[in-house]
Amino acid sequence: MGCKPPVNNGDDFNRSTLLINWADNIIIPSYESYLSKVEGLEMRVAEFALEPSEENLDELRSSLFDAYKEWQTVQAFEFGPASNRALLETTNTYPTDTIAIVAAIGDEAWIPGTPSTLDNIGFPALDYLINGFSLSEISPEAIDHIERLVDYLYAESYSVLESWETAYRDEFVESTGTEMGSSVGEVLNAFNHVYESSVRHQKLGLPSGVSTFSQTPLPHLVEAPHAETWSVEFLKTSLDAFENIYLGSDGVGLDDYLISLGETEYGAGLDADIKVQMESSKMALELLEDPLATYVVDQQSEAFEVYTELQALVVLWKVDMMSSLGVLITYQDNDGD
Amino acid sequence: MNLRKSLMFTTVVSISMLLISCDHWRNNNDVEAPVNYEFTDSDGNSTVSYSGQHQRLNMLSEMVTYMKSANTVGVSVDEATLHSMYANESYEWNDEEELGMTGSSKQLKNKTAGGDPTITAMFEAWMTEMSEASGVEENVVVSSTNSSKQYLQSSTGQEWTQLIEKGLMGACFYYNISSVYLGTEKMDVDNTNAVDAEEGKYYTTMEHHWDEAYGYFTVATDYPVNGTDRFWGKYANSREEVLGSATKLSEAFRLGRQAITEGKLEVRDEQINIIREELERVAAGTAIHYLNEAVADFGDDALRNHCLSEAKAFILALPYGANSSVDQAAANEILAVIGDDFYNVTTASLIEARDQLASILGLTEHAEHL
Repeated sequence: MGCKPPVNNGDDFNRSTLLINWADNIIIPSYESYLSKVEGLEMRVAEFALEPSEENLDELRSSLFDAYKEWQTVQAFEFGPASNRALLETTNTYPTDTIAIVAAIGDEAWIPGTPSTLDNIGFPALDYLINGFSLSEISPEAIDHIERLVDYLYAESYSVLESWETAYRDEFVESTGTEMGSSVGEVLNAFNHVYESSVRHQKLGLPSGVSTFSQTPLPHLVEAPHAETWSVEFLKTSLDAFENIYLGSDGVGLDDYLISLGETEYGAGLDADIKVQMESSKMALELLEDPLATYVVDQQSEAFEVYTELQALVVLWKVDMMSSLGVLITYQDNDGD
Repeated sequence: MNLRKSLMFTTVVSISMLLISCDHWRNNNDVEAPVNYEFTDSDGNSTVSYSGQHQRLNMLSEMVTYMKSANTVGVSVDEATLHSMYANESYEWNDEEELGMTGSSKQLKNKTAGGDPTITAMFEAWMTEMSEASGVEENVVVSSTNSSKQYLQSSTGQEWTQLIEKGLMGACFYYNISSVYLGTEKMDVDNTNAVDAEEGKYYTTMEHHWDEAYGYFTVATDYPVNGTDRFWGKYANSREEVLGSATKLSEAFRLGRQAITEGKLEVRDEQINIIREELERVAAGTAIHYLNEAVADFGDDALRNHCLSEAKAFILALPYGANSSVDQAAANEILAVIGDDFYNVTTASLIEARDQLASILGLTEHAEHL
């Protein structure tokens, strides 16, 4: 008995420190920052409603960009409070249904958040209404509808942050196991699921056509198509956010967790492979150019190469890392690729 | 030194007294449950019989298979056929296990909430609605995320197959277990004489009533090794990981039955309480599980409506338990939070309904994980 130095089986890794670092230094601050950007957007909408000028429209667009970009840093946390509100779906379901958006303008009975509204609310709807029209084309009724959309965006993300700041944070850091439903299990399932389907597949795989049989590019499926110049930036921000979760920002992260397994292929070796691949994926993203909708058509083979770099991370994270850490993938991959 | 010795002596004495009193307690009340639900009289004759329950479970299984055929576009189900299956009126069953279902006196209808005409009419109305909607392409909703899944649903997303199957699990099976066979009237009966040994009925009336309760739960004697494929046996097993339901129910049914055989009715009564409470937790836990699933599949009309129909039926089952924590009014209140139109729900309302239900049942800490 007595004190022994930690042995390298991963059970001696202090998961509590990892969870506390994720909750207090990454997740909650990211939501706070995101919510403040949505608040900023709300203010700009109000100003634009009062005075619909070119200048205010520019300000509005720039605040939409800030909020939409910040969303990319919280999308990975789709478990617990966020999955209770289906935040990913209510915030960023695209392509957006522009016919439904137009129909909702001026409809007093319209309620955001019911299933039929999922593809006509959130950032994609705002991208359409705010970036898709010139000043003279934006009616007062459309501005009212923009306000409703932003209010809903705010209310949903507020409720998620509120859950984190009340009971959920403690529950999260106290669940230190790795079984199904444990905090590590929840984080890693969301991490892999969101990366695989919402980042790799949706932001690049689908529009480039890599995942279809005929490999026909589908440029209208890019994120924020009406802004034209935001898609690549959002993809880069997304990857940075996943890297930040992996590294635990400046604190304890998944890298430390893998290193704690020892100088083995599945421990420190895997961490080194992941770090190399993250760098190489980030470099690959530098090849992409906005508008991404044009790029996937004109330079489709380059887009495929970038996709391959993003895909390499799926193998390392979802297959190798999960088996090293002994955490089960519990989601089903239904996105059809 | 002396002081220490005497202290030690006192300790030893108290421990042995404690052991004695434990043994004493055991001798009075401890009943050991057999590994399987198998019981015999002193001559070795089996005293277990739940053939009527076995027939009813198989009747519902055949009904479910028939109803699910309407999930295929162009396949209709017939109102009269469903009604005749429900009442076992001149319906010819497949009866693969050859239980003698065709023409038997056993039926689901007269055992639904004690044959309450309001309740049976509700089920028959669902069967009628279902048959009218069946065969029409637009009523078969295909999953947007898994095209192998499709269900016949109403314009408000009600899936009749779920309402009827899980509804009868509540109004028929659960009601008969919790409120009828484990109730005072069926438990306050003879436990000394075999009902009719010459006819092979080696069981006492009380033993038989207990078996009938068990047969509505599962027909497998080695549950949960087997019997996890349908109805309460299935859903208790699905809640095993979080609530331990299958283990607790299996143990309580075996222990209670052994207690009856040994005439130890306090032990039996403890098991009645456990069975009632655990079945209620299975029903509520399963409703919570499906509400979580509905949120997870929120944007997929077919899957969301399917999960909400399941959740609704399990919530409607709750009032059928004895001393239920959720009476009809409370169940209706929770259903009102969800809303009648499953195309018009919000994640916030589904989570609110989930949390209300969890709070009533003391399942709040498990609500996220069910």
